[in-house]
Amino acid sequence: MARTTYIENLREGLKELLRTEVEAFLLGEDIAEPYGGAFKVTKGLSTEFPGRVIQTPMSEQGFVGMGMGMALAGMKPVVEIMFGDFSTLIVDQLVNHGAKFPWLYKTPMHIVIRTPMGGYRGYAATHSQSLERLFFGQPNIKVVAPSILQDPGRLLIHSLQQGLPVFFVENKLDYPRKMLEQTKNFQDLEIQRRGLEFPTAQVQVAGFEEPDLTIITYGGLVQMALDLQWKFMIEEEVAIKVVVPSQLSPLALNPILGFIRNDPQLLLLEEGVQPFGWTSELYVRLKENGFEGSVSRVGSKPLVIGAAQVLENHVLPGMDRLEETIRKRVEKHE
Amino acid sequence: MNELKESLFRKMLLIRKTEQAIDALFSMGLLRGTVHGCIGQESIAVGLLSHLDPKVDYITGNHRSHGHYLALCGEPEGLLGELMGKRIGAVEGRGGSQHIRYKNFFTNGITGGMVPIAVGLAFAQKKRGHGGIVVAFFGDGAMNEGYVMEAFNLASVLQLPILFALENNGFAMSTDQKTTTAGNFESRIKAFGIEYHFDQATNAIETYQKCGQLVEQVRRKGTPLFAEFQTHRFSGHSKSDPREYISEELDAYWRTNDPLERLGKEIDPGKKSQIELEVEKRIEDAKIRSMQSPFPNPENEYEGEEK
Repeated sequence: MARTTYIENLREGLKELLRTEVEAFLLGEDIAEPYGGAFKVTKGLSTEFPGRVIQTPMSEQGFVGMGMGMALAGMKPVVEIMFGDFSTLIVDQLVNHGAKFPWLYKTPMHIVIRTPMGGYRGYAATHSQSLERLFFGQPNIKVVAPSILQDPGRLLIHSLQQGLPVFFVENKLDYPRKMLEQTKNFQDLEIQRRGLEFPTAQVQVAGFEEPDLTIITYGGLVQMALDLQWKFMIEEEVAIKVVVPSQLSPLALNPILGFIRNDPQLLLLEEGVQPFGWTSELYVRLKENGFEGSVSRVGSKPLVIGAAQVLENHVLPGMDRLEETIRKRVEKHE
Repeated sequence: MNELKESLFRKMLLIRKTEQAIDALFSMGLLRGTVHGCIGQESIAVGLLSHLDPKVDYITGNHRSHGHYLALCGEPEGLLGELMGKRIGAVEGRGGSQHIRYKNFFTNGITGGMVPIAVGLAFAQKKRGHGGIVVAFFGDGAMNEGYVMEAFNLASVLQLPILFALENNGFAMSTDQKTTTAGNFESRIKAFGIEYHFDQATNAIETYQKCGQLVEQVRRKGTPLFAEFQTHRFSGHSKSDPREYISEELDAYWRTNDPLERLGKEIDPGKKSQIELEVEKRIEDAKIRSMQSPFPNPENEYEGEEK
């Protein structure tokens, strides 16, 4: 999947699925030509793969249920939910149906629900949220998030082989971004990965391997973390390590522990609402597993995301807030 | 014809007597959880499912699916064992009354939730083109669930081989349909461009024959059909329901028109007694086998599940 941008990489993954899996189908709203999806992820695919791209009515419950039925019949549907915010509509089909069948009926369910989450684009209250939290901890639902570090196309292909429903969290800001290996800083970074299908990655700047602070984050905020890593290195010679899991739930704890066990302090970062969030669980699990350093957290405030930029900035975790938090932590540490 | 009558009578009686046995086991404190009985509705399950092959066709049920299960497999130990939470049960004690699988037959406990899933199964049938169809059972309560309407629309737009089977007993749990349901089901369905059929399910033979025609049409044309079966539930909604909301008059009408009773009168009395004895014995045997069957071992059942 060596395509330049995240969206191209993702589209390559979809193409590979349609080429290699005769019973893979794409379902979703406005995903066929000429529109090609609200974020253009499926652009061109309905022409290249006639009959395999099913453009649905605006019936998220209905067509996710239809996807569950296809999976129950042994097909491999990939369902797009246009905005992650609309996943409130599909909770019943995922939680009460798709997630129950693999165990109750001893039948694998190969289905991926993919959807863009996230804000920073001025889409306001109902088109900016990070609602993957709805599915965290749900038995038999895997929540996966690619990033510019983790091949979205490859993760998607693995997601369709799990035998249980995978909620695949994309990020709106990530679509046009270059994959990390295509960026100019790449040659100065040291990257390690742990885990096969859904790897956890660690990024350090070469020559700065003793971290003053480690950020653990995923998805769209990886870019922000890497920008800050670079900035602190250049401006203050502070070493920041960035650790990025791609399997969010169930938590892929061991690879994370492997990367951070001896680090002095952690900053857990998520775009979702912070209380009862992904970082809350991560925090507890790290402590339960013997992590001794200090831990701080940054996430969205539990407020409705406003339309005006100043309002949005107030709610979502931004560079300024993050930078300030890091600076305090690093100074305290020194 | 006599053979058909006897066969339908046997299947319907097995359902009714099993439901009665379940009620009795509950009163003896031998069952946990709850059940939703289908006494009175047996002729629909039997009439329709006698025309299907659960190895080729897909069938989805709902919370009230004991009859569908028994009509398909005729194995009361699969149901009784499941309700007792035993290994002999249809899904080895994992599912209980509402979550049953038998071959291509699946039930689940969320009202209307299996109807969009049935549409996905029908999509697979159409794409694969092996001649299989889908039957989706649901009650009148489900007719007010949003995603059921979405499913009708999808099935019609995509022209899928599915028979929607509405078992209309007039009450969504205790709530009289007339107080909650605007318009009527026929016009709703026709508005989706789906062909609508009605059966006053009081005559088991007629129901069986109509179902045969409907199944044949879906198989031949590969397009959706809707059948509304007017029926009556002599069981409570669930085991704890004294049915205070059902009038004496309504019960009286359906006692006179009970399809099982009516069919029984058309069978040679000697043959009828013989079938009754055989069914009783079959259920008694299933009860004993279910009681003797072991409980599942959680360590085995959840092996590899916790990640």
